[in-house]
Amino acid sequence: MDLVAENENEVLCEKIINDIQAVFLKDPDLSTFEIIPTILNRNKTPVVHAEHHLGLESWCVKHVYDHAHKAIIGYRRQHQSRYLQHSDVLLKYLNVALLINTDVATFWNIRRQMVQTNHLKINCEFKFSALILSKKPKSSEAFAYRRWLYSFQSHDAIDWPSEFGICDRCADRSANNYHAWTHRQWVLQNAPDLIRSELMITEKFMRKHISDYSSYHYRQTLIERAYELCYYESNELEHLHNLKDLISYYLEDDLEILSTADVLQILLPGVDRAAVGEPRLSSFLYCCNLAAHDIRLCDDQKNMYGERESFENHRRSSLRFIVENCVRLLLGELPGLYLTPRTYGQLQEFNAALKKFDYATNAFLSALKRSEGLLGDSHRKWCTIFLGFNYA
Amino acid sequence: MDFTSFAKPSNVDGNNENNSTDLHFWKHVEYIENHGKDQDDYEYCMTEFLRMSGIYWGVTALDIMNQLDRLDRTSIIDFIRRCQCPVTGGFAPCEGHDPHILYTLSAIQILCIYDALNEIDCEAVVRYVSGLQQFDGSFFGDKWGEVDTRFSFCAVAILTLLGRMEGTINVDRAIKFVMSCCNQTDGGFGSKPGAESHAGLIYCCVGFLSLTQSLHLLDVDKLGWWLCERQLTSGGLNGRPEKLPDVCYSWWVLSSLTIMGRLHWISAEKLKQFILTCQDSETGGFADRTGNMPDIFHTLFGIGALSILGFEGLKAINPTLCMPQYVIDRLGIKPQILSKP
Amino acid sequence: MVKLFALSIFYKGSAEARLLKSTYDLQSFSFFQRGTVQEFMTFASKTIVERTQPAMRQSVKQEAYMCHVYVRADNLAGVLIADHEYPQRVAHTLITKILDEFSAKISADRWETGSDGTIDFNTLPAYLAKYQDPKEADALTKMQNDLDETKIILKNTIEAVLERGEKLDDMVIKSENLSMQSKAFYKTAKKTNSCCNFS
Repeated sequence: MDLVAENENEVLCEKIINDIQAVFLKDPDLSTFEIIPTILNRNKTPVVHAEHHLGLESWCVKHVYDHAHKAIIGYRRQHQSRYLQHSDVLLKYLNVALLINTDVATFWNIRRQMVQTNHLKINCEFKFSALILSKKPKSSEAFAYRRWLYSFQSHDAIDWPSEFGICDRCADRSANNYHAWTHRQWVLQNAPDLIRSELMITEKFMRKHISDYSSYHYRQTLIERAYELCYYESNELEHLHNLKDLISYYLEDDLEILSTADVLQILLPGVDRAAVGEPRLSSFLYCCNLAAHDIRLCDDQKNMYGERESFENHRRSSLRFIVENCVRLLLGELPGLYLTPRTYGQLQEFNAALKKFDYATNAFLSALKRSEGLLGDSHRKWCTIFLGFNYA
Repeated sequence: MDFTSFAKPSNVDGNNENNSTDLHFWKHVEYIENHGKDQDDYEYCMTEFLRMSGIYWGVTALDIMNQLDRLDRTSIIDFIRRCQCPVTGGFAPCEGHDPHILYTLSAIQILCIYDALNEIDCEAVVRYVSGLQQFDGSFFGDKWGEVDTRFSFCAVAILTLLGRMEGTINVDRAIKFVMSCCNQTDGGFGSKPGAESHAGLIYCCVGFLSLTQSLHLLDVDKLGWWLCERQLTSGGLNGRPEKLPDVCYSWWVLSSLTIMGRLHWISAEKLKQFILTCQDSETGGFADRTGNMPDIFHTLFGIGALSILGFEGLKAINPTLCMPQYVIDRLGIKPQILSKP
Repeated sequence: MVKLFALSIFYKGSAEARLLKSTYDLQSFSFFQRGTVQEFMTFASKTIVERTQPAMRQSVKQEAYMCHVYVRADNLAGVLIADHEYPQRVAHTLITKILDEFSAKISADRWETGSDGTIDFNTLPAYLAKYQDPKEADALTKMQNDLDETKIILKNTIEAVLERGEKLDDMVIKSENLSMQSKAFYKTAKKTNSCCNFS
């Protein structure tokens, strides 16, 4: 390329970058960014802005990225450790470079330094990273950046429901979005009081995204977490419809399971309830009822959509939850160990105990074992490996 | 949602008729050799941020194909030296970028293949890696504090290759953290405690346990069940339930099963066929799936998986470190492997 | 994903299919793509109707999407574009129901010359919204039982619907209903690597 053309090219790139920056300044509520496939330079600006949406025509992307990238690396080289003093100029290049190539950790790191030195406002950075996620909902860098930004904020001041909302949008737009669901787990760790709405949202999500197994996995950890936190809803305990139906199904009997006490008597005969404590038992019933609900959900979905790996895996996981937690209480372990073991030593110990557990001693569990054993060789093998059922 | 999947031109969809069982050996050599020669190429510019790993993928693939001399050893080593951060001791993916444990591992792997560890300051690397360990045993990827089981693997892999596992990090705590990422539901591992099991991260965690001689902690039956379910009717392997098959998961699942002594639990022949259909017979290189664009990343993992499957004309590859076995032998390293039951 | 994107009614004339009414739900597509998406969906619907015999049902897969088509014996046709996970049985039942309603309300003599502007039939958007959840179809159980699923012809790509000698690429270029922007889009949609983000 001759020098004149090269110079023209640079002027054009600089103009496009300035146009984008102008949109950023004019519209603080930008909601999405995308690259619009186009072939030709139609001699008008490739920057399109409408109803808080920003678009960049694809023909210029290569040149613009190259230009912004060289500018950023150039500033760093030229000004060494003092390059942050040029934050104002750097920022427009960083915005464009990250919009086009969201994975460049170094560019995110420069923004981190700008935040640390008060060259960038945290609130603007939440908006910017959300904009990046509108273009690339799987951007692990953008999620990590948000977690880093939150470390500067006081826990109580954070709007956790809105962070769940970001996870919703990203998961909705990109199936099996690993980073969105791991980020969601992190939010849940910080906002455990939102369990109830999480239970509703995840079910709705699973009904629409029937093969998004990441959402099923999240739901599994959600139920584990509810049990860990001893969570339950008192009004649910009066009904426990799903759990009662499941018990009747396995025991092949229209038992008159009237009260919560009946259910406990069937699931945990001989367990010293006073020693376990009321809240733990309530949470046990509530969470088992959720698992029973999910088993039914998987069966319903299978009827509607046919067999799917996600239905099968989630059904098994729900079954495992009920069996394992019954066994845990039946073994009469110490209160601390009613929960999922936290260390691998405890985990191995429990799995060994599970393998040795004599299911014949419990009418419900042995009926469950028999019934599940009828679902084919492969499922029997799964029950043997994961639940310690011995079908010999 | 992206509309390209709806408006895809007709030449790339439909059934691929490439049923060839031949490895386009020289095409791949050419593909890797030429990769990065056109430095004005857009892809080259867009992937600068992972250049060091790109070089590792190319160097390893060529060495497995016994064609390492096609790359210029001197300029690669010079490049690596320029990428070592004088302050932290870690390696950046490329000049002008920040150091990260991911690229530090790639740099060390390349240097080991070239038998050139003496070219850099290894003590600084040890300091960098051990400085990233946290109290709970986990590792940051860089100073900004992201935690991931990949970084645990990188840390022990780097220290093993440098022969500096002793007395540099708290191995017990590191093991404890990795095991806290094991999912009771399926025996697999995710990136963090509670995160979904994922074949790539399982490779990292199984590899980590192999390097710390702690494979006895694995629940081989559970994890083996999950890994075997990754094989689809096409013969290809996916990385998680309900995902499409992908050549890179051939490597991650196969290497994990190999370390666990359970390679015979999947159908090698069908997998081999799947991998071969992902070759690009025109340009060389492997794609993630049949008919897609090839890249250097999938090319290494395609070649690596074929090597594990004993494909003729390829050197043996070490399943834990994803490097030629002769290099691992030369360094006197013996990652743990479980024997076939 | 269980999702409906487009619902349209055509009259299959001797020369070409005539669009009588249509509705779209394209919120899940990115903002600047929606226009192109709508054009392509209409283009695909029309193309398939024109290649479906009267009294025939087809379900044509195109990547992650499914185009369900039913052309009645009287040449009235309905097309439902859904995600491939949406149950086929429900999709075809819904088309039948809508065509029944349409023919009850709009007399057959107006089909040949009608168009979106002249025909007064405004229930499509409500149906598209309601049936996003296929459980709503439980109410249609009787109709579903009448539907013989084995008679639906399945095709794996739009190409498979075309007649001998026809090429989708050529048809896109020649189409008068696709804008320059959409044609450009079609050309730039090329091989993609969806999987891996390396870092």
